[in-house]
Amino acid sequence: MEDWRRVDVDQYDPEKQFIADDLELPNYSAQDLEPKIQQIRQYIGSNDLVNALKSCVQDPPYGSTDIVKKGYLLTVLDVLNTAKQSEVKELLSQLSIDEVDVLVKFIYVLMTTEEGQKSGGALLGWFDKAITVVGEGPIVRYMSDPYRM
Amino acid sequence: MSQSLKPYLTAVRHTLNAALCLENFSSQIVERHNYPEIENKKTKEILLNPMIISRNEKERVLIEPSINSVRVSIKIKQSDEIEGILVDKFTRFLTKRAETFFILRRVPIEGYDISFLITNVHNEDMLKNKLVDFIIEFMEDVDKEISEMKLFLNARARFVAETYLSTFD
Amino acid sequence: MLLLQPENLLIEKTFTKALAVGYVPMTLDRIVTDFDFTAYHISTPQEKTGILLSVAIKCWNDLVAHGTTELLDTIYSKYSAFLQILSEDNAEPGYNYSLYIQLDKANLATEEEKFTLIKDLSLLKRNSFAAPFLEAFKKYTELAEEQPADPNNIYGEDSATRSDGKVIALNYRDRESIFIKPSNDRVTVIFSTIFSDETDRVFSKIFLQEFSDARKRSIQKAPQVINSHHEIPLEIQSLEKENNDNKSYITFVLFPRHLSTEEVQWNTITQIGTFRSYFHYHIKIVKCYLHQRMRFRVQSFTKVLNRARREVSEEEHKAERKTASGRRFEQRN
Repeated sequence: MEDWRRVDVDQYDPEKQFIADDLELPNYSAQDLEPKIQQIRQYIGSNDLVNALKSCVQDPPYGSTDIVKKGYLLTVLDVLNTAKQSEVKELLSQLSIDEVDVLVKFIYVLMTTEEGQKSGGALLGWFDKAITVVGEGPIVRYMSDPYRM
Repeated sequence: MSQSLKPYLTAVRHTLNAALCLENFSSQIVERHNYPEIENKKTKEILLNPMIISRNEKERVLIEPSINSVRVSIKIKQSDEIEGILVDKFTRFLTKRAETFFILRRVPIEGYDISFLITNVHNEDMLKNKLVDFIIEFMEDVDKEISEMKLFLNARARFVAETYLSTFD
Repeated sequence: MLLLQPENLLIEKTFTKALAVGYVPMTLDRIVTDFDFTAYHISTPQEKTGILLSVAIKCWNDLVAHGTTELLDTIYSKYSAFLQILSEDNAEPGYNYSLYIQLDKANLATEEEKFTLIKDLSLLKRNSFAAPFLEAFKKYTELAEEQPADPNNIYGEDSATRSDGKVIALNYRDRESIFIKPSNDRVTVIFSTIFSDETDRVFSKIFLQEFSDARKRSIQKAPQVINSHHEIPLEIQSLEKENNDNKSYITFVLFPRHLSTEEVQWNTITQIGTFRSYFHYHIKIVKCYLHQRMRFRVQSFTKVLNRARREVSEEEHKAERKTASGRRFEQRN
């Protein structure tokens, strides 16, 4: 056998496997989320950004497939892009710490997507202000968060 | 400093600050070994969620934390062929001198121009805030250096061309 | 040194020494190289006072076809009292053209005469390359007489009624060539050049762009420079069928002002002749400079990183360290 020293034998040992905890997350489909997204869009339409943000960070579809998550994230991006940079601080002060945590998580995930990179400036503005409002806590919590978008 | 550079660098600074919380950790797989866990990625439970901070499509930083090491990879802005070449030359120049840079990874991660690997050992003999300062200063200076080199190249080319052509009189 | 000198410095030095007062004749055997695969051999085959200067040029056959031998003969025959021209089969084996100078017969009275001789000898390469250019310039004069250029066309736009002469091609390097094309209102010189290094090629684009722009911006007297990186220019499409080697083409359009008098013509030939070397040389210089700059920058980064290192004071290092239970560490020697 070729290069047998490099074979990872541990992968055949059932006791040495890392098994992620089952978080029992509901798997929402795109249809399930449709009313929520509609609701958020309505908030954007009526320029009620606090409520738009609050519904974004409430019960995000952690257990869904990547495509569904992506659709949801793009809605969040719309909300973030709608807000003027001057209002950001005001909006953030109306969210609880837990809500900011989720928001920071969204920002990180959005920055990995192409759409998010295009509006990198706005996202970084949000990020910057979120950190000044609540400190570095959300970053630490994001790093070890098993609930991923 | 341009408008969007400042929040970008602050975001990187805060993220690094949070990620650079390292401790000594022996390998769970091989007895008496101590690897930077982010490099071999064999023990899943001690790897943390990686973070990408992007300024735009062309500039981003990937920070991959783990229990005893953090990998920071930087993608430097390259808006045209010349900048591409200059960045490539510059990073190659740096990686060849990796010994003097302790934290520099010799090969950048795919999709990035330069990578740093900070382990708990580095974190112990260096001051964490200064280490973060270094990375931030590096990011700032590289951009400046690349654009200065490009300007120099154009100025020199113009000078050379004019000197040559002015001999036809 | 910004501009390259057209003369060969080593030849110049050798002959300045040889013709100086109080020169002790000695045996010489020197091989000197110049740009574009040109080699010279300076030797004293028979006696110490007779110096043989031979030159080998890669595209000699192309040059001979355009009257180089005749041109060199006219230039050097004025020294026939002590200088013997050995061309074609009489030239030193392995070389294309030889000049045999007998120092003891040299009767140069003034310093100025000596200077002219040395100049002529050290410009052997330029003189060899001049013939095809002169031929093209002559053809241009003929064409211009037949059909004078439109005096209103100062910007060198293409006119429909242009008459063109035959294109002269010189394959002066392995895969690179010079093309010269006379017309009734201009002479076009096209260089084809190859960059073995991709970086050089990209840098060359910037340089060529500046060459093209310089005329528009400040130096109106200069010839027009047009560059094309892949496409073969129209003028030479009959000669160059395909661009397989990723060649760049640089076109110089010489206007009547560059061809008016004999003196101007020679200046043009001299400058055009050094173009390729000049161009490549400066690309290398720029790379060198950038390298230096990066070295400096790396140093400054190292300084910043070293600032992060924790200072361990000498005392702390030496101090006796104990474990919690009071045991001491001891160094084993």
